Formats: sequence, structure tokens, C-alpha cells
Amino acid sequence: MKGIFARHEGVSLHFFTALISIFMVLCSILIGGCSFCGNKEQRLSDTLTVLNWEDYIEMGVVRSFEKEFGVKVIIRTFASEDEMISMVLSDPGKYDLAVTSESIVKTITDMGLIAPIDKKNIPNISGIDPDISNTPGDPLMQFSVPYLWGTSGIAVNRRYVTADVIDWGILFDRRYANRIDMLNDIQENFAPALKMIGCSINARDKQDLTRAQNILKKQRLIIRGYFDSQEIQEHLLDGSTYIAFLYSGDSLMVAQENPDIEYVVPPSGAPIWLDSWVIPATSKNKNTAEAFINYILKPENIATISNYVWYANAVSSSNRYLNSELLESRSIYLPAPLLARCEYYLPLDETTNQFFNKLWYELLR
Amino acid sequence: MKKARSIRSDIFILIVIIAFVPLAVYFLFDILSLTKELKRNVHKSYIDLIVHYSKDLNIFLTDRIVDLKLLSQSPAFKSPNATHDEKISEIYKVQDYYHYFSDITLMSLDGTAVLSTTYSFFSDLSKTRWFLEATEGRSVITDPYRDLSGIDLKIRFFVPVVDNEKVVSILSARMNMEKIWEVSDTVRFGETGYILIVDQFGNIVSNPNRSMIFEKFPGLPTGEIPIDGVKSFSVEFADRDGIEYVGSAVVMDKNPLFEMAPLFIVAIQQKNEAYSLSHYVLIRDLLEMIAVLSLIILVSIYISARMTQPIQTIIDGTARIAEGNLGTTIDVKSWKEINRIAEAFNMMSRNLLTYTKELKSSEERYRTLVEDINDGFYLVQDNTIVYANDAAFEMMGYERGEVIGKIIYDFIPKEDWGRIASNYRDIMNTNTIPDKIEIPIIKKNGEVIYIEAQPKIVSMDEKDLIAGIFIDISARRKREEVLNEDRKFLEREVKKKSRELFESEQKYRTIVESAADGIFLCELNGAVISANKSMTEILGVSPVGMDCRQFFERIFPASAETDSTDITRLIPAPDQTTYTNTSITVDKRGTLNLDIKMNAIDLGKGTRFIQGVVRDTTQRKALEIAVENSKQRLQAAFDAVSDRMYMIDSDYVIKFVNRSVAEELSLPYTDILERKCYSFLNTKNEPCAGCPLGLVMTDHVGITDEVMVSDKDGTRFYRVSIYPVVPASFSHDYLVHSRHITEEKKIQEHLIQSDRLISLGQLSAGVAHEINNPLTSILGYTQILLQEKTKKSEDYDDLKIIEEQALNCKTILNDLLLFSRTRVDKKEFFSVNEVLDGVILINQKQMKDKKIVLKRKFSKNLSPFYGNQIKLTQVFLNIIKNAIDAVDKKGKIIIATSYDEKTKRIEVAIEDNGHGIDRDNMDKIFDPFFTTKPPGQGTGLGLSVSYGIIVEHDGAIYARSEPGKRTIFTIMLPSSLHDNP
Repeated sequence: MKGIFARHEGVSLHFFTALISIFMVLCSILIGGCSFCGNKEQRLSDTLTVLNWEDYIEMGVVRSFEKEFGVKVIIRTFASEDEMISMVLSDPGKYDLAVTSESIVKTITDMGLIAPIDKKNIPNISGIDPDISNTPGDPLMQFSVPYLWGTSGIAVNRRYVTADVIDWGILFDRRYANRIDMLNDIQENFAPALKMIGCSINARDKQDLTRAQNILKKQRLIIRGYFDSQEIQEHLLDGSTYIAFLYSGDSLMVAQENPDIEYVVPPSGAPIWLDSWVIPATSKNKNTAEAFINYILKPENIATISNYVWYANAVSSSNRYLNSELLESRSIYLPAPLLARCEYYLPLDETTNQFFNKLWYELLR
Repeated sequence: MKKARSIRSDIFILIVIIAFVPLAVYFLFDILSLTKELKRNVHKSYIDLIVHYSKDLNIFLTDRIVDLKLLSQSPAFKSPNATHDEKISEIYKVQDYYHYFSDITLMSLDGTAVLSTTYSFFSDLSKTRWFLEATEGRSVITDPYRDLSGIDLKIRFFVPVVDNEKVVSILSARMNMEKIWEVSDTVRFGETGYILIVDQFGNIVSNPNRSMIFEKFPGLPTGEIPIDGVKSFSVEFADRDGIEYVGSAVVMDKNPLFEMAPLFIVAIQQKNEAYSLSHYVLIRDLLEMIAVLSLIILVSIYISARMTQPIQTIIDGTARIAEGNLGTTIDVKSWKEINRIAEAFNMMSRNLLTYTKELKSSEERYRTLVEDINDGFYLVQDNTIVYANDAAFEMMGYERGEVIGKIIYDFIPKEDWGRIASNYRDIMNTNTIPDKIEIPIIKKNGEVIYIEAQPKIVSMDEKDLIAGIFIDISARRKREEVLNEDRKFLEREVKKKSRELFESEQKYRTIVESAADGIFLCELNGAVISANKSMTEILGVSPVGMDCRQFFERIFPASAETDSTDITRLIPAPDQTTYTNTSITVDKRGTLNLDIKMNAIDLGKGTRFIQGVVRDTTQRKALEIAVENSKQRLQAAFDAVSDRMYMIDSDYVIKFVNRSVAEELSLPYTDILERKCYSFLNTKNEPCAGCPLGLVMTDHVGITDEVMVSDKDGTRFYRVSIYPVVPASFSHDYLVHSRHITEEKKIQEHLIQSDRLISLGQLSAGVAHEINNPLTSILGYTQILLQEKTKKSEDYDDLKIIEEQALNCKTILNDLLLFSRTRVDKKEFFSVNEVLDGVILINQKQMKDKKIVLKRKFSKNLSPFYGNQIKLTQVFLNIIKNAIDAVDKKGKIIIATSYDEKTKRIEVAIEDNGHGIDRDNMDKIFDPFFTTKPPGQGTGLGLSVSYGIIVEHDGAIYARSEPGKRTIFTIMLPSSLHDNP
């Protein structure tokens, strides 16, 4: 009896196990669907849309990136940083990579406009000079990767301007009425005026700023106008403008073609800035953008760019590829005492931004 | 073994399957359709809710656009005469009245902000897509975006100001999303139901609980955002805590009044709460299903048991019969067919019982007959015991079961199998009955007994069996065996003992006779009573019968070397009772060496003898001398080598050194041997790193290497060769040969330098010659041109530089040519001191300028030197110039000459206390074109030219320098007296 019963029990257990497992398989197919993981291999996209200042990269480097990685790089340009932010903000998803000055990285990070950088995809980031990457806005390079740096100073046409010492005052000199170009950038434009009244370019006091605005109001009557850097370069080249408030590299590029042009970092100190790469949060091609940054950061590539745009770069090991003219120029790699008198722009808070806007638009009105 | 299937379990499974499968299908279908329906209802209710809310939101946004449109139509914006103040007051009216906008800005079409209530915008609004659309006459609302604070979400309205159907300016107003949240805040459902607004990228831009937006929800996965044309869809996602949410979403309707990127209105609820009803249905259905399933199983067990019960009863009955319970009957009430089987079974059981009883009584009768006799009775068929009576078992000591069915050989010792088998065959084949057979039997306790059997053939069931009676004859057999054994043992013992005695004597005799040593035995009075063959050979005569004293004296007459008393001392005195072993080596005039050992032996009962052993050691002695000679020769050979030689074993112990080593260390040999080489020679605790000896030990191949040793005495080079010593007995020794080659190396380097200079000389001669001609032209024409120019002429300075540089080249070329010339042109006798004086004179002005102190230490007995005076002047000039260049102001230069009588050489030493020559440059200073002077000041040829000149004169030039202290150039020139032609 016992034997027969035991056998019967065994068979029935097997039977149940089978039934239950079939049931479970059915359930899992109904509920979960197929749960195989997708292929996580990082592929590069077909195109990469880059927002950049005009003429602020060497196209040969871009072409060789396109050839090596099979990615079509579309470069869209902007004339001011405000314009760049507007483009990213109002056309989300369209841009994959942008150049921006380090002074607004913190601001646009807070605005959620840019995505964190995945340093694993940018091994060449290790080549960046730590002295340069250690900025107040993003010291750990979590959101931005340093690119080029330079100064905002004065370009003069030596055929007409013979003064030995060129300082900020020349931008307000009536003798050169209608021959002076200013940049159409709010923060940049206030810098020379603030230096004239003996303030830091990061002055936040409303009285100081209003005083600066008064100087700018008077200046507006004698200047040719507010222009973007590209327009100023054209004016300098054709000799119609004698004095311009302009970025160092842009000035030196013009000087290549018009030897009368000289770029001067005013001895009382000038704004110094660092431009960095950022990736818009809405970009769909983040990997490709990072691959592009990595490619740019190769010492030989960034040196090619520096040699072309006449700006110092953030990769110190690129020095051996740099033209000696560039490396020895005292208006690019500034002498230490002069460098000490230069200042970085600090980020604007909401109230100061509003006040700047107000002063600026009153000026333009 | 594969288990057979059971009828009962098969029936059980069949019933379960038939009953359960349709049931399970029904429940599954029921659960699926019901939960689906319930979920659909949940989502339907969500959609109802959010569609309603979406409409509210749309109306809200429309209202704001209308507010701005009304403002834009204000005459203040259109009138060209309106002042800024009028305009701004209109704007403030709208902003302050509704409290919806946080900033309103009037912008010109070029993007300049004309007026603004707060100027709170961060970027260039005019470059936005929205502004551009507004300039085309459309009202636009932006995506929600974060402002500078990074916390607040804002949207911005762009409304064109139209005058005469032309856009003249743009009104842009900013609104905090909080204004929209005020609307969505009112909507709550269930415990965990919320309404969210999601932008086109899946970011949540609105939610009643502000912190939840940023902290709990990551936003909708972008995969959830449907493609165009879909109005509503379901969403499912987890928040950052892992809590699952479900919900539905609709796209906010497009509004003809304004342009806006799609916004999604999403209703979400925690999954548990949302699907609580469908979960309830699911659990209820599952519980029902389990209850029904249990019922089915119980019924199936009962039915299957009922159906198989009668079969089981019949099986049990059969099993009882099989166990011997004959006559068992069973009681079955079942189907007709099974009842009939049960009846047949009962009848069969009863009949079986009857027949078996009859059979048993018949057998019982016969059995009693044989069982009662005292002798053993047996029945064997085909060698197998089929029956035996109790007497037989008792005799054999086995139980019944241990014997019946076994073959007979199991009880017979192996050695008797053959005999018994042939007997068995005889009986069976010939049917002859032997008289009596003795068979040994192994009892259960292992004892062997003998039985006497009288086998007989009987027929039973048509088969032939052997049957018979047997009796135990063991006791009788034992007695006979014991007697036999005793006799045999005695015979064997006698034989053995006599053989042993014979062999022993023979053995000893042979040993003594064939021994290589002479052996003799004599009585206490010295009379030899026996001696072996070798003794006779050593003495040349058999000593038997002689007095041992006599023959010792015969062989060894007293001589200077041998004291005969020594020999006689060996022979014990007659009254001596105890003897000790004594031996002596005697030498018979240097030709025969004998080792004699005498020994008293006591054979007991006062019988004592003297035993003597004489060994001929002449050959051994000769060999020892030869070995010693050979050893001395070897040592002498090694000592003759001036290089250092060691023999080192594999433990780094020094086994042998030659005289050079001993002399160098100033130690006797004995202090060097048996020391570890690394501790003794190098004061280390373990073998030196990279010791070539270690390499040889592993590879067993000899090597030669150059070793550099640097210590306080300077740098020395050794060429060290190490060879493993091959003969088997020295297999672990290594021969180390070390030669001091510092001098050799120096000479080699000099040779290389000379070679290099000669080839360079040839090359530069060719080059210099080729360059000389064009250079002359350059110089010539330059000078012609110079003559034509006045000093004030523009080109005069340039030409002067050409001339100067060309002259410079000339100087280098002359140096090169001098360096390359291979023979001494013109030889004459001259005084080296005079030449040196001349050179000093030339440089006097320079030395004065530098305030250099010059010391002359000229030897007066210098013999005149025969050679090229001009060239030697050049050499001294070069070296003294270098010295002047090397010293600082107020430096010191010493110039000394001397004559060495022994070597017959003139030596000139020029010493300065200048900066000296770096160690690295030391071996390059004689290289052509090597200079450390600044460009233009030295050709780098001076010293190489000098080197060439000195070598031409069979002399030598050396430089020694202590950087920072001094440099000494020493020039040795062979005395020329014998060179006189």
C-alpha cells in the first residue's frame, strides 16, 4: 500500500510543478513583455550642430573630425552670448554643442539649460591646464570644458593713432569721433566705462553703474556704433574705424591682413575671459558632442585652432605645436604683472541683470 | 530500475486534467477581461478629468493673450505722439490690475527693449524663434523655462502690436508658472492622484506640490511622448523612490489665438491605489480557483481509490499465498467480472492447500527412515548435496541450510578435489562401486576430519544420484600421521647439521687461503704452525715450522731505519696471559713496505695461539708519493700564472687560490681557503648581485666578462673568466680567472682615438682643399669691392663683415690642413725650452691683461729634440692658449719641463688652475671640432691638431683635470739623441 501511495504522490507533484511553471511563463509574457536589454553601445549620430562665434574654429580640424568619425558637423554662429542663449532656449533640441564664456556657465547651469559633461567620453580633458580650469563658475568641469581664452582690449590703427601709451581713455577721445567701434554686449560695454571711473569690471553698486552709464551716454555721441565682433573686424580691415573695443584674437586676426592694426591690452588691466564648451540639456547627440570636444582637445588640433584664431588655449601640452609668434606675443600670453591686473567677469544675479538691462536699453533708446 | 506506472495515479491525473483545464481557462479569461475592463475604466476617468482641466488651462492662457491683445490695441502704442510715460502707465495698468504678469516689455521690431516694467530678461529676446514669429503677426507663448534663479519656472507671451495691419512693435510679458499651478492645485483625486503639466521634452512643469516636481519625479521618459496626431495615451513610470505610478495624458488642444509648443496634461495616481479594484478581482478569482482545484483533487483521490480497491485486495491475497499462507480467501464486492476473478482465486487457494497436505505426509514417512540412523546419510546429485540426515550435520558441524544445495567441493580441501572428482566420475560412468573411499571434510570450525564413505548409485525422478552412509575416521588417521612425521623430522635434522659443519669449515679455509694478506698462526713460543699462500709469496718461503722471530729477522735485518726491537715487541712473551692488538709498518730498504699486525687468540681451555697478519703496502706508498708530487706541480703551475685564479665551489667557498691572489691580499694561503668569497673579498652577507658565478652555476657553461671595480683607489677593469670544473668528483667547483686589464683598455682607447683622427684627417684634407679655392675667390672679390668703396659707403660695413668671416674660414681651413698633414715635413734639432719661451712671449700681452701669474720650471739638462719645430710650436701655443682662456683673472699657469733618464723622454707639463674639463667631455677633447668655447672663439681643432703632431713625433699627450681646480696637459717626447741621422 505504502509503495503505491508514494508513487502516486510523486507523479502528482511533478504534474503540478509543470502546470505552475507553464502558467508563470504565460503570465510573464503577458505582463512584462520581452525584457531583453537594448544594446547600450554608444554610437555617434550622423550630424552634430555646433553653436559658435563666427570664425572661432579652424575648419580643417572640423573637416578631419567629420572624416574620421563620419559625422556631419553643422556650424551655426551667433554674434553675442545673449543671442546664443536665446537660440538654445527657443529652439530646444536643435543644438548639440555651444561655446560660451565661463562667466555665464553657472547661470545657465542653474537655468537647466546645459547638461552635465560625461568626462569618461572626453579622456583628453586630462590635458587641460588645472590653473585654467579652476574657475569660480565650474571648478570641477562638471558642465563645461575650457576651450580658448583671451582678453577684451583695444585694437588701434597705427596709421592714425600714434600715441605711445594706449589706455581705456582712447575709447572716449573726441578726436576720433565716428572712428570708434564698441561691442554690442551689455557686460563687455560697461567694462571700459567702469575702468575709467576707477571701478572693477565686476562693480555691482548701482551708483557706480549709473556713473558708468553716464559716461557711456556721452560716448555714444562720438562712437560709430555698437557692433558685433565680425562687423568690427570688417571696419578695422577696411580702415574706416581707427579704434575698437574688441577681443584679442579677433584683433590679431585683422592685424594679419592689415599690418597697421595693433592690439593693445591697456596697462591698467582688461577683462580676461575663458570660453568653454557646453552641451545644451536638450541635445539628442550628447555622445557625439563629447567625442567632438575630445577631438578638439588633442594638443595638435587645439594648437591648429589657436594658430588660426590667435587665441591662447587651455591645453598646455599644445605649446610645442604653436607658432612662435603666438607663443611669444605679449598680448596673447600676457606678462605676469599685466595678467595680475586683468579680471574675470563674475556671474550676474537676477537684480544686477535687470539693472544692467535697464541701463543698457536706456542707453540704446 | 524504471518504476512501473500505477493505475491509480493515472486515473487520478486523468480526472484532474479533465476537470481543471477548462476551469483554469475560464478563470484566466475572466481575470484578464475583468482587469482590462477595470483598468480601462480607470484611464477613462483620468481622461475625463484631464480633458476638462486641459480646457480650463486653454481658457486661462487664452485670457492672458486677450489681456495683452487689449493692451496692444491701446491708442498709446499707436499714436506717434505718445510719450514713454504714457505707454508705460498703460503697461503698468495691465500688470498691476491682473497680477498675472511679473514683467511686461515693449520691444521695437529690431529687438531693442523700448520700455519694460522690470527689465527682467536674461537673454536677447529678439533672437528667439518666438519673437520672430510675433513680428509676423502671431501671438506666441514660450515653453516653460527656468530663470536666472534656477528655481522659478516662467513662460513668456509675445503679442504683436498691430497698426494698420502692420506689426509695429511687440509686447512681451513674463508669467510665473505659479499662476498656472493656482489652477491645477485645486485638482486632486484619491489619496495619491495629481494632475501634472509636462512639456514637449517630458519635463514636468506643473504640479500642486512644488517640491515633488523637482525632487520626486524625473519627468516622463521621452519614449512616452507620443508622436503627432495622438490625442491621449497612458503613462506608467516610477518616481525617484521607486513608487510606481500610472496615469493618462492628453495633449492640450491647439488654440487658434496663439502658437505654443504642445503641452501634455497628465493625471497620475499611485499604481496600488489606481488598480486596487482590479487587484481585488484578481485575488478573489485566484482564491476561487484554488478552492475549486482542492475540491477536484479530493474527489479524484476518492474515485481512483474506489476503482482500484478490489484489484488491490486480490493482489494482497496472492501475496499472502506466496508467503505460504495456503488456503487464504478474499472477500470482494465489486463489478461482476472482478467478483468472478475473486471466486476463482478462492477456489484455487483451497485446492492448493489440499494437495500440498497430501504430498507432505508421504514425504514425512520416508524421511523418518534415514533420519533415525547414527551414521551420516547423504544424497548427491550432479556434485550437489540434495539431502543429508541429522547425523551427517552433527558430524560436519553445519546447520541444515548451510549444506543442502551446496556442491560437495565446498567442504573438501582443494588438494583432494582431483581425487574425489575422479572417484565420482568412475562411479557415475562405470557404475562400479568402490570398496571404501576416504574423504577429508572441512568442518564449520575449520578443522579437517576424515570420513569413510561407501557411495552407491540410486535412481530418483529419472536421474542418477549418489547415496550412501559415511563414518568419521579422523581419530585413526591422526595417530598414523603423527608417527610418520616424527621419523621424517629426525632424518632431516641429521642431514642438515652434517652439511652445515662441512660448509663452515670449507668457507673459513677458503677465506684464509685466498686472502691477499699473509696470515699465519704460531704457538706462544713463536713456532709457526700454519700459514696461507700469500704469506709464502711475501716471504718467498713457507714459514711453517719456523720460529716467527727467525723469519722476521730474516726479512728485516736490523738497519738504520728499522729497529728490530719493534718487531720482537710484537711477539708476546710466553707467560703473557692477555694480548692487545699491535701493528707496525716496516720498510725494508725502501723496496718493500709491510704492515704487520699480531694478535693473540684464545681458543678456550687454555689453548692460546698468536695470529699474525702481514699486508704488503709497497704499491700504496708509491701511489701516495705520486699524488703528492702531482699536487705540488699543479699548484706550481697555477702560481706561475700572474693573473688571479680561484677555485670556488657551489657554496661560494674558496677552495683554491694561486700565488697572485695570496700576494695581492698579502695573506698566507691557509687564511684565504675555506672562506666564502663574497664575505671575504667583498664583505657582504650574501652572494653579490649579478655575480657571473651564479650565472655559470645555473648554465654550466663558462663565461668571460669585463668587470669594473671602483673604490677609493680609482677605477680598475678586470676581465673575469669563469669555467665549471667538469670531472665528476669536482662537479661543483668553478675556476675563476681574473686579469687586470685597466692598462690594456687605456691603450685600446688610444688606438681608437688615433684611428679616428687619421680618417678624419684624410677627409678634412679633401674638404679643406675643395673649399680653399672658392674661398680665395670670395675673399679676393670682396677685397676688390672694398677698394672701390669709401668707408662712409652704405655697403662698406657689409663687405667688411664678408671679408672678416672669409678670413675666419681661412684660419679654420689652415688648421684643418695642418691637422690633416700626415708626415713631418722638415726636421731639425732644437731646444724645447727655447720653443716654450717663444710661445710664452707671444702670449705675454694676453697674460698681462688677465693678470695671470706664470711660473716656469724648466729643467736645465734637457737634451735637444729632433723634430718639426714649427709644428711643436703650434702644439705648445694651442695648449698655453687654452690654459689662458681657462683661467679667471689673476689665475696661475705653471709650465715645467723635465728629462727622465730611465725612459729617455722629455716631459712638458702645462698646468692651469682654471675651470677644468668636465668628466663627460674628457674623452672628447682630442676630437676635431670639439670645443666648449663660445661660437667664433675656437675652431675645435687645436687639440686634435696637437694630438696628431705629437703622435707624428712618436710622443704622447695626456690631460688630467679636476673640474674647478686644475688641468694638467702632459706631453712626452722621445729623446732624440739616438735619432740623430
